Amino acid sequence: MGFYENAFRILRECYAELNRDPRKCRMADWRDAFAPEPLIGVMDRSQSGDWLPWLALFPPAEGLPGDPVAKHNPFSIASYLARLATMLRMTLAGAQKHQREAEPAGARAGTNPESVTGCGKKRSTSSSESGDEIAAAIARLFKYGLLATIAGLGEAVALLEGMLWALPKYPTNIIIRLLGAVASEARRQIEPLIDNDDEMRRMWEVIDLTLAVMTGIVRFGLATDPRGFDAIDDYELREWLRLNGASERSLDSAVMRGIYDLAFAYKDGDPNHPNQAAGCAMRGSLRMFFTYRGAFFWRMQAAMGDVVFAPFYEVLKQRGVTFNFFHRLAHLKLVEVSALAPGERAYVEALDFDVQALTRDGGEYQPLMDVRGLPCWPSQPDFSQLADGDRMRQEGWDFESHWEGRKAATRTLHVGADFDFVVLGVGLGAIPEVARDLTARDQRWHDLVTHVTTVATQAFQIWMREDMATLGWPQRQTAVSAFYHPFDTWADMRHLVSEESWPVRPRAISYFCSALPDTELNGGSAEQSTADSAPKNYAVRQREQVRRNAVDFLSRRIKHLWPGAVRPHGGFRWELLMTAHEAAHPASAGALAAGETAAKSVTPAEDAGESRFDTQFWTANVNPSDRYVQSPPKTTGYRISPLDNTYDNLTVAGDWTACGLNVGCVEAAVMSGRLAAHALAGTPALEEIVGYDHP
Amino acid sequence: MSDRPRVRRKEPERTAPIRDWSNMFRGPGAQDAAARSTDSDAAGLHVNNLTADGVANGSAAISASTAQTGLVNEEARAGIEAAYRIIEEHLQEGRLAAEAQRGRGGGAGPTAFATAGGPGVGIAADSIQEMVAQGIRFYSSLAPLWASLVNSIASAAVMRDSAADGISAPPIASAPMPRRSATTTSFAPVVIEIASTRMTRVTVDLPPHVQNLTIGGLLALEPEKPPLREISLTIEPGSNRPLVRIRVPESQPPGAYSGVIVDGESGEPRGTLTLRIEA
Repeated sequence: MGFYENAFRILRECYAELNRDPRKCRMADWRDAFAPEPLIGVMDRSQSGDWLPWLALFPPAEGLPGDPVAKHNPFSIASYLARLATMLRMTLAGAQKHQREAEPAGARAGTNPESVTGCGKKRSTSSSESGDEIAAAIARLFKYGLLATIAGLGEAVALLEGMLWALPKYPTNIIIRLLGAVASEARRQIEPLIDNDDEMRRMWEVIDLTLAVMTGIVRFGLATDPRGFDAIDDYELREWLRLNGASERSLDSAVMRGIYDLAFAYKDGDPNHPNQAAGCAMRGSLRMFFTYRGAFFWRMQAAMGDVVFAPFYEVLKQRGVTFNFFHRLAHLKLVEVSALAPGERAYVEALDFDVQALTRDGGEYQPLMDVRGLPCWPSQPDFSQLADGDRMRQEGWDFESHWEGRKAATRTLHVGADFDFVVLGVGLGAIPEVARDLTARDQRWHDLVTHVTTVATQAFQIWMREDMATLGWPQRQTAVSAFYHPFDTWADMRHLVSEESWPVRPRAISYFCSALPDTELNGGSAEQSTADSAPKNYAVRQREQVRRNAVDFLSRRIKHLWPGAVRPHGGFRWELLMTAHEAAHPASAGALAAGETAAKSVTPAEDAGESRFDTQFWTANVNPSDRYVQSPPKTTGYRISPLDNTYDNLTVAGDWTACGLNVGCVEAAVMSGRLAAHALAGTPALEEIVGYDHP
Repeated sequence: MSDRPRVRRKEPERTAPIRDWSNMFRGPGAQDAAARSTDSDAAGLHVNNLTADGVANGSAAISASTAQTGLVNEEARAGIEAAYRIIEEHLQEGRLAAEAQRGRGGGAGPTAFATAGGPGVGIAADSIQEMVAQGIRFYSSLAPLWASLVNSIASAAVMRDSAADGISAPPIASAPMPRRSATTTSFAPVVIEIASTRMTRVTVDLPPHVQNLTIGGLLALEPEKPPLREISLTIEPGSNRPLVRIRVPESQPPGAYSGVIVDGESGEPRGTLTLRIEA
């Protein structure tokens, strides 16, 4: 996303250091790997029950993500309040315009408020306005009763906006009063107008939610609370907004559902139990909407393994880092307390690994493959490099599966001899198993894995022989959320067609994902989610469940997104799916993530119907280390910081740590990694980690 | 294990992010800047502190360099006068509107409601009568807001942007303003004594450290409601806090009553007081 300052900074530095030859590599510069995407959307449910795409074009913002942050901190709550007021003013202007257009001809009589007050003009938010100018502006509103009109509300919000941009200059009691007056009048005036008017309803939902956020920030004193948004982390997001006046209609709006979908914020993956901490959600949402640079989204031009991890790997290799692949951490062993010298802190004494495979020649495994000049991370290991690789392939060894217990050897590393420091960068779901010394001996670690939860996710991807416009989606390429569960989020991946090796190219590629309910297992708990406790074939059964979910989704729900993809009397047109036998080569690693089924050869006799789906890609991300980190209420305090020095040769890294952002996302993971680097090496300076010091 | 001494991490300078809002300026080497930014006197920063219930505590900028003047410039004075004239005008218009609707005459229809029936009017009122009443209720709730804004303009004196490092503006009080920290609230509480047999709510807007206050009485917008005259404003002995005493007669009609608190010597407005009597 465009606010991922740390992630983009490190990526840009990585690409610069790699210094790829653009004549040989089509992704030599980071701008080759990421393209700005300003159009985002949610699926809105109309009052008549129809699903309507609600797309928004977020204008380009100055600068690029990863640029140096300007002297003036954009992250103060005061600046967020001012930006919220700007958004509110623009939405009110939109509501006024929409109302005028909807009025019958001849209804406009009497004094035109715009000609009297200049309402509707964009108000200058310059803080150099004199007191007289502001006094005159408020006088105009009073004199002509315009605060009783939507236009007048917009003018009042413009004044509010000006005050908020210059917050220290105005007493906040004035801001509270004016905000309260605007909120009260807006609700009284606009709510009656939204019946049978979907556009007005959407605008009202934005207005209502914005007012609730602003009211909440002011009422809860967040602008000056030393805890910043942490101060409201005990509240669930919807609960907090409801406390601050948001209506139930707005709380169930497409915008709100999209915010939950984006974070997979459903307890146990159940869409009927949305659950995220208000403070984390507000911090993340305000950063997302108001501090993006360049574009709101930045679309990867190939798979993440190719545009992110492969460059990272190459740079580290150039710097002399040694990688030992196929080493699975089994146990992080703490020193026995009895062995500690007086006053000595506990530390990591040893690391036990299962060595899943060895290379044939004993050398370092080479993970990347060249795909038309681009180093790519394949979806399957190169068994040809592995000792006994042929047998492993035939027997289906799944090195990335939590439940794969087969191994070639074991190995133990000892402190001092083999390592000095440890960065525990595994996923949260893996902590109970690999760090059982920590969870058994340290209450904080026990609390971490007990309270900070994870959720499994599901996804599928399909390749189709007709383009999106023909399928009934005429809009430009975008991503939408807030659709049916499961698979509430859809990303149009048509840009990847050129990256894949098809003799006859598909016309469309689409990716769907969502949370996956844990029907049998709840990972992330200290008491569960070990290989021994998991039901047998749990991963297999969940994968099959995802396949059924996907088929059902395409059969019954896709018509609301792509009306051209269904038959006249209902049912998905399975013949749209391009199958394996139509391809001369397997799909490239750029299109298929790990865990796909082997490309299945489908005979013409099997071409018809639902079985064509079996050649597409789907996955149940149920491995404990693959589960998505959540931020439920009352859990932020249980996260452990990479800066924590309780074990003086250990740090942690991951979006599950106390990294400042405290939500599951790439940016949080990168921030955490930078904090871990600071913990070990003193660099980068904490102030260099953008957004770490943030309300 | 190796024989060489075990390498240990250094103690971190901190293990948590700074969430405090005073963290306004960030960037390389900004730790010093952040430390300086908490010293409002040195940096001339402005502090608006909210109390726990979200109510702000007072007026604007403090600056050691400008705390000495204590004077209001002509621009602000003209603004104050114009503002109070406007308040009086619209309060008068409201009264005239109410009288007109009650058939008591009083001249032309109120200009304050010129937009009735015009574009953009989304209020649900079915009648002019209701709309007038809504407008009066709305204006009455905003009048204290308006007075507070005017007062703050006077306090700030000159609302001009400073390109370098924020604004310094002389406060209106003649006494130098005390230094504030970025993390403490610093307004003087007001003591209120009410004698009333009904639920009564009082709102006071008063900047800190003002003295020699007086209030003339509390008025309602509805002309048929008598003003509240049994009100006094003094300084509580010992604590030096403003002390407001109000007696609400049994026969006083329910509603909102507002008044302006002024400096007893100069006559300049200092704040407002609103009292609402529930039915």
